[in-house]
Amino acid sequence: MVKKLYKHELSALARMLVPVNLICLALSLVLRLTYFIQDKFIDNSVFEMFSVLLLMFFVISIIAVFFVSYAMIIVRFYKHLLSSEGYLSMTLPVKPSSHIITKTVCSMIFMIISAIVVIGSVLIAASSSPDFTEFLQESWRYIKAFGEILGPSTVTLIIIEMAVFMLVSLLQSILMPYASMALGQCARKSKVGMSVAWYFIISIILTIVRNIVTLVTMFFIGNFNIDSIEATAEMEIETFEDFSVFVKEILSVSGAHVIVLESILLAAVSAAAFYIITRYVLKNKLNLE
Amino acid sequence: MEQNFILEARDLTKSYMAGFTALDKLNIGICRGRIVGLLGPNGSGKTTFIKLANGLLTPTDGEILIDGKAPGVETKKIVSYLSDRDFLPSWMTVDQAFGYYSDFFEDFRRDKAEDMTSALGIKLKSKIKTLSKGNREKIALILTMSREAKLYLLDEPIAGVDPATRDYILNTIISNYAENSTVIISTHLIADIESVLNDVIFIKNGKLEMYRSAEEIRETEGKSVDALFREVYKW
Repeated sequence: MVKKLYKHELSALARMLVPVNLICLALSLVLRLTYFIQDKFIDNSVFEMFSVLLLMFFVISIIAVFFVSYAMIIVRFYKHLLSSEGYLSMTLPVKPSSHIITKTVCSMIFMIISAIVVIGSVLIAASSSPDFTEFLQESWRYIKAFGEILGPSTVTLIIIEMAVFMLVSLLQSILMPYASMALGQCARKSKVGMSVAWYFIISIILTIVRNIVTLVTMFFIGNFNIDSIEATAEMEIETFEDFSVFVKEILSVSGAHVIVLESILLAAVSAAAFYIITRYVLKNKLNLE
Repeated sequence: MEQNFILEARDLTKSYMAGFTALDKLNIGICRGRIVGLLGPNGSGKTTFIKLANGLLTPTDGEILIDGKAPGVETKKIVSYLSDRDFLPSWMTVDQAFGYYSDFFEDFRRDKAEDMTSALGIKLKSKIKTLSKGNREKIALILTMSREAKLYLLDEPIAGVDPATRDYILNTIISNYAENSTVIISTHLIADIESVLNDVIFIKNGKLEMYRSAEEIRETEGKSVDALFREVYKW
């Protein structure tokens, strides 16, 4: 049964999101072609205007991919579970938790696909420019040099930390509107308005908690490592190597890892809380009027 | 062990915020193998009762049991529900809607649904949103009645449709429900469905007013259910 939920959820999301992603990809290809033509054959002001216009559309489409994907994911949850369609969805022989987990996983998959499409499109569109290729090569050289100084274990750690942080943040950003909508639907009237209100209330609470945690951490780290931080602050940075050593020092004394781990933990705890709230409401307080 | 009642309410109460009580300590036990009319004027608590049975609302107090169990995954397997709302995703084709039901309801008989649809001349490839209101309601009914459920909960299936469609709907209901299962039809259009009912339940202001067999009403009261309804709910 759960497999079928995934099947239907993926196809429903694909129906809404594949077109947006395809438009973005198609625009990047057209842009690439335009630059190619401009470079080799035609180079007049009218054509240039056309390519600038195209670039504008491309940038808009990149932004649209993220916003539209996120908006669609939210709308899908509300429409499928809490509006008229909910009269069928919520009477399927499926646990509320299965609905929430399926929707969260499928939404994460589509957000990751959107990110890949956007990165891919930018690479396609920009690949014609020699400056860009150079920029990429240069960046790669720096990253490699940086990695060598930091050592492979640190680099691996940073990559893992970043990946986990991004995944957990994504999870949290999907579950947060879910919880807001679940709480919003408990209201008798203006359920959408109440959902938006809950979203803001949760955001405010989250910001306050995050700030308190960061302040407390900074206070402790600052107290423990005040000498080392002062020492790094006095380092002279003239070459790239100096800079790398400086970053390495900062990483080791400033508790950067602690802060990242803390952010991961905070996002994970809030995601768990949002899941529990959503599940509790769908199971015990469903209010399809 | 099989419970006596397919649907049972014990002191079932549902109050909404703002102090409105839709159901007030309702006690009722509905037997298997009956076609039951859930009758009452608008706002008497019929839809609330059906939604509670489907777990779309939660009781303020008391309990509602289907085959002895509170609404949940197990009860949803045996209840076929027709909402009074447009609940089918409008972007789906009729074919996709059938696929959706086959995937989630093991008791859904797709061949039966397809036969009924072709008898109506509706194409499987038609999108739900392009169908007329009447045809959308018919497809929803076909989906509901093509399940071999133990309990059918039909909320206002004949409201807002023309008399010919009304006949079609009632015919579809009585000729398709699974044997030994119970059909509960909520409506305020009593005259139209009186002939198919075994039992009638009158609800008034969230309380049970009467639960008797239609036959008995006609014999002891010497009047039709419709006439009795007009008497009970007289202003």
